[in-house]
Amino acid sequence: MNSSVPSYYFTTRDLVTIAVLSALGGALSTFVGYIGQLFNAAVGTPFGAGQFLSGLHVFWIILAAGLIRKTGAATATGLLKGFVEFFTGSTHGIIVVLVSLFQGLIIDIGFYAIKQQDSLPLWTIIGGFAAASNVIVFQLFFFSGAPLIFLALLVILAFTSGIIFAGYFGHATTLLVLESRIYHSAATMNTITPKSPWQRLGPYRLSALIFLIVIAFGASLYAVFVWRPVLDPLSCEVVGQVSHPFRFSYLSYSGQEVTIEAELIGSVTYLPPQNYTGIPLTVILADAQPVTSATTLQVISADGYRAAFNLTTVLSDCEIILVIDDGLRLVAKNYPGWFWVQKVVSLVII
Amino acid sequence: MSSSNASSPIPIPLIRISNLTYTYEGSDKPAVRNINLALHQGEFTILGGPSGCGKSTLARCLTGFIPHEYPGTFQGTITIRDQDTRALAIRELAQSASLIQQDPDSQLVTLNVTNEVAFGLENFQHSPATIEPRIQWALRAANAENLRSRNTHTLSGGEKQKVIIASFIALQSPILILDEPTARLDPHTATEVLKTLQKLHNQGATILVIEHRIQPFLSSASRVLLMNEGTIIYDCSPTQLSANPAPLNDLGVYLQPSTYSETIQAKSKIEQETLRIQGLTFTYPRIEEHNSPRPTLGNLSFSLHSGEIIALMGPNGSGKSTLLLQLMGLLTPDAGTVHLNQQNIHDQPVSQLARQIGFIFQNPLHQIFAHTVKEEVLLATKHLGLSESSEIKLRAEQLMRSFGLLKYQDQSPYALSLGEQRRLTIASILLHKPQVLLFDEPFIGQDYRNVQRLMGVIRSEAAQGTTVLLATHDAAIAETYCSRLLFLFDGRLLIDAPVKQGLEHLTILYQTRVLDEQGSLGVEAEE
Amino acid sequence: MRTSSFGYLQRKSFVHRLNPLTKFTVLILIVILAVTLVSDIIALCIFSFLLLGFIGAGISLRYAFGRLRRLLTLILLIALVQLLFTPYGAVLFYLIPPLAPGFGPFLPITTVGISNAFNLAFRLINIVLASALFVASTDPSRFAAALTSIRIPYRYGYTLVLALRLVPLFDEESNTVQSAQRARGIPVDQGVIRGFLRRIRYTFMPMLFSALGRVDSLTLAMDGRGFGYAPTRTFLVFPKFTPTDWLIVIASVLLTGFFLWNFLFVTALPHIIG
Repeated sequence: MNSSVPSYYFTTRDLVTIAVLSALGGALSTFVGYIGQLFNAAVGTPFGAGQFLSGLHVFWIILAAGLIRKTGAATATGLLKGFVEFFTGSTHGIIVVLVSLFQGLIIDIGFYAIKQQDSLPLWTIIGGFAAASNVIVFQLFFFSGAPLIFLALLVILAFTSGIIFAGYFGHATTLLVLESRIYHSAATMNTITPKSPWQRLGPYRLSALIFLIVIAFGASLYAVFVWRPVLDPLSCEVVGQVSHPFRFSYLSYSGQEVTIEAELIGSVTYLPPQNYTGIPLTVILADAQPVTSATTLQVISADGYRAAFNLTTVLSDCEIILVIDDGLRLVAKNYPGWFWVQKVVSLVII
Repeated sequence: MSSSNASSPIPIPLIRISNLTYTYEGSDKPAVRNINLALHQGEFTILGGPSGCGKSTLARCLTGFIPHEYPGTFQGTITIRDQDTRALAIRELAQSASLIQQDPDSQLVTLNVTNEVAFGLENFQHSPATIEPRIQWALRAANAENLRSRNTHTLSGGEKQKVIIASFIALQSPILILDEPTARLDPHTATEVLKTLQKLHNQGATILVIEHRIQPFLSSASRVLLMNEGTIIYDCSPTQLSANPAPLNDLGVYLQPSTYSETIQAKSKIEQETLRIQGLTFTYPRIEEHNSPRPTLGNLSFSLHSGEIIALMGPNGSGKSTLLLQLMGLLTPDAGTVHLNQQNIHDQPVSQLARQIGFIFQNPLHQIFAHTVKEEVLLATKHLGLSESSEIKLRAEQLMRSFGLLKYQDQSPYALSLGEQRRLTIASILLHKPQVLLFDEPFIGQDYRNVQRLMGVIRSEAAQGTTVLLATHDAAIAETYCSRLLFLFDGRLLIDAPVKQGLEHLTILYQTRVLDEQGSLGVEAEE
Repeated sequence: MRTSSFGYLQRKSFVHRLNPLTKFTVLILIVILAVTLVSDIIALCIFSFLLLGFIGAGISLRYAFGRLRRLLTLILLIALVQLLFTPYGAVLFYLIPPLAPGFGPFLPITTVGISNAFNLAFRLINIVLASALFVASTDPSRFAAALTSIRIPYRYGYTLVLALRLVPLFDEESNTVQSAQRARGIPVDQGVIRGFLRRIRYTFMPMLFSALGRVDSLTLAMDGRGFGYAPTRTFLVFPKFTPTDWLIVIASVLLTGFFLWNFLFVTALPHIIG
């Protein structure tokens, strides 16, 4: 073409497609919200369906990426869909732009990473992550400090929803659109068959889907019950039957350290007597003020390991200290090695 | 705009097409074949021909959309003002030729009328000082000055059409191509659009109109082209055509109502009453302050009988669709009742009512739900409690065969053409033989042959006692196929009469300006 | 029928006349402040500022609070999570008293919990109100045009305008499709999971195909009117950046900067460093 007009990365058709899908997503978000409420009413929960349906918001973005097949298309669609919802008066205001933009970004990164392949399993994973990201964004804004189990439940719901509605549903619909004569796309699916994509959920794909859900579920459970993200490795919480539950950082007790000599005798490990410097538990527990009926102290590590002490004994023992050693580590002079908990994150008084 | 006139001694060819053949990708047959044509400065050409004859493809070629936007095989050359369409981008060609497509809703791109009309001028970098007078000129030319401060989504269908015309003519490109500009308009608004085109033509514009119904344009046109199966088979003046209209009937192009070969007889014996509407009154609730004005229904009373085919007419926005939704039980009236076989339709859920009343919506895509054509036809067996007996399966097959859908039965309905989708929706409603059929403008964009085919089926249903209510703008269809006319105006029933008398009465109402230019009642109408 | 519609309310007010970018800057700054500063006083300051904004824009406070009512559940949820699960601060009382020796008490209500509940609830309220004020007082077309003055190509701004123009159309279509479902006798409200899946599919698919069917025509309608003819274009009316706009932008940037500086170097850092 020897014309003088500029050419663009996104053609007019690309932009129109982005606008159409964003507008559909925006217009139908009211509908999705409404069926979400119906779902809540049917199941009898006050909330949660929002996450159960969160994949439906990502559906439009993944569809745009599937039809346009240019890096950036998903981000553009996410951003635009966010703005459409913002301008039509979304209840969450400008946050919705951020949530939607983030979802688009994840899909773009995902599609870039898989080189725009038409792989259903990969699409479902990307869809899952994109849908789950909304929980994280919301958490950053409004639920900091919420119990992890709460967040993890939402993440599981959203991830599953993303797998089904964004990944699977989005993939099938992209095929359906490319097969129809209604939309001319530069993209062609390399798996086009005359069968309806709704019938294509063969046993192989179904099992892949179930496998993915199980993996996601397991990972989330692990995240909730075992692994705890420790942002400050030198911080620890004191909770349970105390008048003053609190979280402290090792540094806030600097100046109150003591040095003791101790010998580690474990069933496997043995460390000869040496000097340890750290904060006595008695100091920390005094600040927390355990109630008089409390009997036990549990020291819990980041990986879920726990050791239980008799509280009365601990309160009169100055030779149990927390030291800095790859996080916080308990040094309990008069106790065997399995009481020397590593990576301490929590002191629970029961 | 050029000041030269249609009567200039040596016509200058603006567009030259030589040996054009184009085949869409994935198709084995060329959509247009071996076309040689020159369009001259100041001509007003009307291009007719049946659905799928290649009219719209030719229009896309003329403005460069083919081959720039569509993959396929393009042979031959098209030059516009001596520039090859393949050498220039669509955005540049747009300065020479404007194409106004069928559906204004798929062309409006901004939020208010001023921005819409300014859109092209701004893109071509005109200065604000020159844009302003152009907007005024274009809106006046399109008879849409009163719409200037409106938001686009509050406009009615006819108003949208005027605005989109204004937004293209504002560019003052020398060639204006319109693809079925009046298909969705009531006769009154259609006349207004035609006047606009005449005005522009008088000012020197070269105009090409693509239409199934060429009759209304004949008095303005200077040239008539007829296409069939991708080639131009007739190129003459309107007077020549009027002298010898024979080719039209073969092509399925409307000339005038009298050219229809068949006219239905009014029913002689009094039939059983099926639907009775009494005092039906309805106003849409206003939800937000931005809502578009929507039709209201005021105290409608009438009855429909078995075996009747009734035309429901009225200007855009007069309440035809609202009335149909009421009869289907999809809206609840503020006052009044609708009885089907002496039973109030609101005593049963719509999903039950669906067994007795079939509704065909304007856009077939809005009511296609199944994965395959066959499943769609058989959808009633799934949801309306119809047993999937061998009898039903046989009927489904017969319906698919008579609608030319049998070969697609295992395909996705979305892969069909629009005409095929329209037939599919009708077939799927006819399966369970509802007592009443409600059609909302089913024939937009369908040529005479298709109309004839569908009406043939509808008439045979009516002969078996089905009541048919057909909302349409097309007086010719009403006159040919319907026995009775209901004319709605501003939500009121203005005419309920046998179709011939009704249409005559309507003509008088327009001529005596009881219905005035603005589309409102000049004086109170009496029944 | 449920329809979404534009949030823009046409008025002739001082706030409406401001450049859309000015208002957008203020909106972003408010979000930054609300998110970074956990302070009762600042939350209440922003809240009062926004109420004044609504009055200045000639938009009734009933409208503003109407927006919040739709969010009541979420606001309460956010507050509740903070109230129940904040383990720091002095314990005022326990929600569940000791039920048996060694069992309970549970769910301490602490001073920090109450303060966090208040702050995070107000964070949402302020962000939502600021957004509502922006949307209600800003014509999206003007916003799209103004974007070009920060070098965002007009083709992108117009993509937003096009999308917004399509929303009311799709709203209407969505109603039609749902009517068509009922008219075909499709029981969309039977069965919990299956019913919902059916409802979604039977709504999304017709809508999607009908909408994608418009892509060709829209593309041609835009290109056919010179969309993208040149990298820049003219505007019949272009939202100017007035001295008032400059004043507001500079003042709000300085104010936000001061609050952040104060927070980082006066309130928070000494705490962190200890």
